[in-house]
Amino acid sequence: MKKLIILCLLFAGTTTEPEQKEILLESNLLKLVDGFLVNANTIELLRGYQRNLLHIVYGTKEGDMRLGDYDYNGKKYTIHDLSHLEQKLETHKDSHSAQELEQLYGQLQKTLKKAKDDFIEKSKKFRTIGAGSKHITSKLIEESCKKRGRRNSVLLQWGNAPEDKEDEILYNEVHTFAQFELFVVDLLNFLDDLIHSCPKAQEKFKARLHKWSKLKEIMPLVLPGKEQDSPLAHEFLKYFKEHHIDSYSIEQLNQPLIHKLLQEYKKTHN
Amino acid sequence: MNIFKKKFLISQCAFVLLASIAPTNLHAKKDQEKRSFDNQEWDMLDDREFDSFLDSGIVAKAENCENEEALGIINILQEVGAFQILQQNIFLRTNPLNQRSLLDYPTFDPNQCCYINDWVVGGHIFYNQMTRASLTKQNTNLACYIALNQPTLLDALETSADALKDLFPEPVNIRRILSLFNCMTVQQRRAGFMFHGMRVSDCKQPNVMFLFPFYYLERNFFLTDAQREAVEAELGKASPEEEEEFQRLHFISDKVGFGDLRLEVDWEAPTPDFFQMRIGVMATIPTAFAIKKGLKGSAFPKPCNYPNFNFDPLFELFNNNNPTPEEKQKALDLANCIAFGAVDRLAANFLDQSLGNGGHFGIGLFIRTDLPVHDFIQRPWTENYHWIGRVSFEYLTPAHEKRFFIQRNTPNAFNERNFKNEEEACENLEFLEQEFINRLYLLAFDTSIQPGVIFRWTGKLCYQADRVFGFQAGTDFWYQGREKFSRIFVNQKKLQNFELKKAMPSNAYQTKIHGGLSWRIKRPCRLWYIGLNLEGSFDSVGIGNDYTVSLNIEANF
Repeated sequence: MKKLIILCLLFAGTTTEPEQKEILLESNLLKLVDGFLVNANTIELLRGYQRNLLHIVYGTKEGDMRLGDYDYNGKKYTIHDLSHLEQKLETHKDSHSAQELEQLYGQLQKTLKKAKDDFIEKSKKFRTIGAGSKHITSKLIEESCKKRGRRNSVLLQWGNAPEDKEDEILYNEVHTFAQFELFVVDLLNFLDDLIHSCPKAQEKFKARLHKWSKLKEIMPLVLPGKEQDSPLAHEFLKYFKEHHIDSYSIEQLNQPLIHKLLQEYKKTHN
Repeated sequence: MNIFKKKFLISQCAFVLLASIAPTNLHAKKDQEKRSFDNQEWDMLDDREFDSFLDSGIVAKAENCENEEALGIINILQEVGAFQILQQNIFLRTNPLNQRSLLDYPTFDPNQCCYINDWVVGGHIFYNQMTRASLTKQNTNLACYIALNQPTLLDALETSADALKDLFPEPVNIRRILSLFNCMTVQQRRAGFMFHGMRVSDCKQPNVMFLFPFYYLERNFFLTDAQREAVEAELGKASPEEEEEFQRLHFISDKVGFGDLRLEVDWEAPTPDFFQMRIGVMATIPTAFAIKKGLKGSAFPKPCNYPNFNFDPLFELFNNNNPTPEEKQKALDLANCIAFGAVDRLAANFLDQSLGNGGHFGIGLFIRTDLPVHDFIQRPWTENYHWIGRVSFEYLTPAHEKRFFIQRNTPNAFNERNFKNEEEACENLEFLEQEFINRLYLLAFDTSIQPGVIFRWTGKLCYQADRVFGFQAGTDFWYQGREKFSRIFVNQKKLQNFELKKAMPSNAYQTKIHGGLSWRIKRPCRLWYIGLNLEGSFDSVGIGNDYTVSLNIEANF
């Protein structure tokens, strides 16, 4: 009996593991520009955008919790939560009076409008990445959606729309939180495919991240305890990233070097 | 198995089954419809360190990364086949267009067989048009001047277009686009006044004549309506205002002013009674100057050096993930500047033509003959017919003019470089930038030009009785030999890098028929002649066919 349970558990363990396949976009242009025109800075921007989208859908992480940004019935929710609430409301329609339903749906629509506005606002900075090359982005979105089996995704319409009409697509084609979540998730996945299709740029970005981690490990060794969270520490980190992160290899990053750079920074920014 | 055990087993299996379906984390699929974000770096995106990294500004360009960047650009250029393009000859020729002076047009020869009184003063109002100028000896199409249909260049461009196909919303057919401009040519219009005066003497005294034009000259690049529609269909249609502005800036050159002055003096030569011959000398004095340039179009300078482009805004645009509108505009302006700078030099060579002979002083000899037809065909109706002839040779003295040249193609220079070497990358990129400019831009050097000798032979049948009406009709042949470069005013070492043969125009000839009608109006003190003349060429080499219409009004007193 116990063996059967263990086998079942093992089997369950393997089936619940997500399908971790990388989808690569086969664009000649991407291959051509990877590592040069699409570089670590591009990946940083894309990852930053992904982070913002993630915060919209699943909320910001606070300890073990994830906190949403959107008000509904006096509480804060994530889009993912609101999608569930919406589904629940739809399933249990009968337990509410018509007036209650109207009120609840009205509130949901108001929140949805706010979420869309928030998405548009948070996307502004990143739209410039693809500005002027809309047709390239739209081809890449098409390929990503096709490879992911998302042939009816609103993202396809959004990608094909002219740059000044993208918002209209969002307002006109997305009417529920479920649709909105799906749209943002498709976008997140597309960004992921895009990043994976530029391995050289991604490699450079990862190298920067590793250096950043190492720098943060070294920082407590070169700054006394009380200064570790001071404005000086933050400003120096920023300065290091802006001016030195590509100048040194990860092996070169050590306590004497960071100490020297910090002293130089203190002198010049006194 | 007892009931308790069965229940336990069922509950365990249900738990396992549920566990396998329910999302254990956000990577898992929720249902068939929803596919959640399957990012492998989920933890990274959520990580505080990652947050701090993203929120700590953007990495500035390292001071010592120029070579790395240059190598990146070179690699891309190599990948897209730009090297092959840069090793092609884009200009097949760089010669200017041959021009026939208005002073040599048969329309402006004396219109009457003979004048009764001693003085003739008058002027022609004329319009002359050449619809397709010859760009080379035999061809009027741009494709004979620029390698628009050269297979090697087209292959190289197609390879590049294929590598960059993702950049364009629609597939780009290089052959079709370039073929649209194959038949492009240059059109010329001249309109204005040709003033003339003549002292008609008796047998022993010389005849003296002058011609002096004041006119408007316009040259433009020309496509037929059908060709323009094809270009618009392929490349898009601009608004009428945009099109007009574009043509004004790059496709039309015009000016108004005086042309060269022609003086002719001739004396009667001893001949048999039935035949009159006058031998004369002529001079063309380079008096031409423009009063105003760029009325409907532009005046194009002829620079002797390459533009000093800074390609950085273009490269920075590529390298910058978040360019500002100003940066984009700057890069766009630079791209336009490069492209139209090259077009404008071509326009300077083709379109910006002097109103005269280009500063050359001309001297020549001519013979005029007058043969009464009645002396040979003794019929009553031949009494008032004359066969008027004129043969002339004119030598133009050397003078300095600007001539355009293109740098020689140097494939060896490519082979000698190591484009993979990062240390040499900046230098290599500069070389590629220079090669790009060398292929596209013509340079104009002061050149001492010895024009070819001009030969003219005109004959016409002229009817003039003591009546109101007269007419003339005949043929005309004009030929100019090939010009030579006596000296090019540039460092000899530098000159070796330029293609000199391509800059020399061919010889040229033109054969015309011409004719006219005239009316005579008698007034107490003078005779007035009003004439309507037409002429058109039917055969030409190295210049193009043209036609002229003129209205001549002259007084004989």
